[in-house]
Amino acid sequence: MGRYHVTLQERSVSLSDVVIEPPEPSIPRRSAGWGTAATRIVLGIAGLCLAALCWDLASRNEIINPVTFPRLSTIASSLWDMTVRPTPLESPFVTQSFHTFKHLIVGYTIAAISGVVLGVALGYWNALGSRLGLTMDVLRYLPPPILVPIVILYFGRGDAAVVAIIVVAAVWLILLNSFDGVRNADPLLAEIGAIYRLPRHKQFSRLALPSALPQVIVGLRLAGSVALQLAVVGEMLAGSNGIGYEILLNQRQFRYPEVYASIVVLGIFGMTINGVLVRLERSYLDRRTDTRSPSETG
Amino acid sequence: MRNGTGQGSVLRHGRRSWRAAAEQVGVLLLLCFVWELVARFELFASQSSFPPFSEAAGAMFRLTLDGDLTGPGRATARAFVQSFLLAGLLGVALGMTFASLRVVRYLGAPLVEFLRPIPSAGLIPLGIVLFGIDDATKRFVAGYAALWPVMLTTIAALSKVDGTLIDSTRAFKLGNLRTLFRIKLVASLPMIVTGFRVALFVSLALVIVTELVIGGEGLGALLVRHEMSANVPEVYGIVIAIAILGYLIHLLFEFGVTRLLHWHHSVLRKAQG
Repeated sequence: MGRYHVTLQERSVSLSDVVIEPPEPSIPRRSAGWGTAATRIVLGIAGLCLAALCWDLASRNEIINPVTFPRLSTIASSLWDMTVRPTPLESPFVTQSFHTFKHLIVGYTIAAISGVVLGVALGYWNALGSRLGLTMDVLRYLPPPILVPIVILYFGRGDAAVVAIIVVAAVWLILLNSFDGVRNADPLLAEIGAIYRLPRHKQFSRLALPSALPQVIVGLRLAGSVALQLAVVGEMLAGSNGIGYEILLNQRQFRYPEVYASIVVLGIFGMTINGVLVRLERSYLDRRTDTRSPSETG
Repeated sequence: MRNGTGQGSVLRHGRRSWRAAAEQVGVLLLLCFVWELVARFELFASQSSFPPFSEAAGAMFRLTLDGDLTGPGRATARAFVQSFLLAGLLGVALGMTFASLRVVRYLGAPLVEFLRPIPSAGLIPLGIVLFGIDDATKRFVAGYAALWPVMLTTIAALSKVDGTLIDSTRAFKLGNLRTLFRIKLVASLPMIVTGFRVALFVSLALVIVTELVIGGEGLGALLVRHEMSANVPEVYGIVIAIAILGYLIHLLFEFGVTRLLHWHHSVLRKAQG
C-alpha cells in the first residue's frame, strides 16, 4: 500500500512540471533564420577545414613542435601506408583492426548474454536484489580497468586476457542496467499482475521484462563504447596484438605520425560501434508505443 | 508527508531506512564471507591467484598502516580532482558557448562528433609523447574523457530550458549574458549534474588506467608493481582500497549535489522517500 502512495506522489510531481510548461512560447523568438540543413553542412565542413588548416599551419611554421604534432599530410600519408602496405589485406591497419574486432565481438557477446541474464535474475529475485544496493553501489564506482592486473593473474597475457577484460568491464554495465530496469519497473505493473492473478513467471515475462527492456538496451549500448575502451586498455597492458598494442608500440618506437594515424583508426572504430548501437536502440524504441525516457534512472 | 501527519511518517520511514541499510551492509558482508569460503576451499581457483577476503583486507590494512597507500593515494586523488575540475570547467564553458552561439555550434559539431568517439585510453601514448611520464598525461587523458559528458549534457540542458522562464527574463529585460548565467545555467543545473556524475566516474577510471600504463606515481602504478612482483593479496587489497575510494568520492559528490540542488524536486522527492 505504501508503495502505491509513493507512486502517486511521484506522479503529481512530474505532472506539475508538465503543467508549468506551455505548449508554445508565448512571445515569438528571433526567427530561425539560417538554420537550414545546407548551411549546417557547409559550416560543419568549414569548421573541420578550419581546424585542419590551423593545425597544419601551426605545425609547418613550428608554432607547435612538428615532431610531436606532425603535419596532417604526414599523418595522412602514414595512415595510407598503414592501409596499403605490404598489401591491403596484410597491412597493419587491417590485421590489427581485425584482432581488435575479434576481441570486441567475443567479449561483448559473452558480456551481453551473461549480463542480461544475471541482471534480470537479480532484479527479479527480490529477496536478494533489494538488499544488494550497497554492494552494487560499491561495485558501480569500481573503475573496471583496475581489474586488469587481476585478470592477468588468471589468464596471463594474450587474447584470452583481453577478452576477459572486456567481459569483466562490460558485464557490469549491462548487469547494473538490467538490474535497475527490472527493479525500477512501475510498481503499478506488479499490482496489475496481482489483480489479474497472473502466475509469477507470466508477470515476469509479460510485465517486468518488457518494461525493463529499454534500460537493458541502454546498458547494451553504453557497454559498446566501454568494451572498445577496455579492448584498447587490455591490448596495451595484457595483449600481444590489436590497435591498442600497435599504438603503444608506435609510441615506444617514436613513430609519432603512426600514433596519430592509429588514434584516427580508433576514432573510426568508436564512431562505427556507437553508430550501429544507437541505430539499433532507436529502431527498437521507435517501434514501441510507450516511449518513456529510460535515462531517468540510469 | 503522507496522511498529512508529517512527523509520524518520517519517523516510520527513518526506522525502515535504517533497517534497509543494515540489511544491505549485511549482504555485502555475506558476500565477503562467501568470497572467504570459496577461496579457502579453493572452489574457484588456487589461493595463489584468488586469496581469501581476510588476506586481501589484511593486506590492505597493512599497506594503509605502513603508509604505502598514502603517497600513491594522494597522487591519484590529486590527478583525479585536477582532471575532474578541468573537464568540468571546460565542459560547461564549451557547452555554454555551443548552446548559445549557433555559428560555433554549426562550425564545431562535426569536429566534436569526430573527437568524441575516440576511446580515451588510446590517447595515453599520445599523452606520453606530449607530456612524458607526468601528472599532465593523466590530466590530459582523464580530462579528455570526462570533457564530453559534461559538455554534451550542458548543451542538452541549456537547450531544454523552460520557454516560460526565458520569456519572463525577456519581460524583465535582463541582458543576454545575465539570462545565460543567472537563469539558464541555474535552471539547467540538475541536468548538468548528471553529466558531472558520469564525468566523476570516467575521470577516476582514466586516471587509474593511465597510471597502469605509464607507471610513475599513484594507486594504478602501485597495483602494477605488486602484480609484477606477484604480491597477490596486495593486488586485491589495493583493488578494495580503490573501490572504497570510489565509493567515498561518490558519497561526497551526492552530498554536494543534495546541498546544491536542495530546491529541485529530484532532491526533495528523495528526501521524502
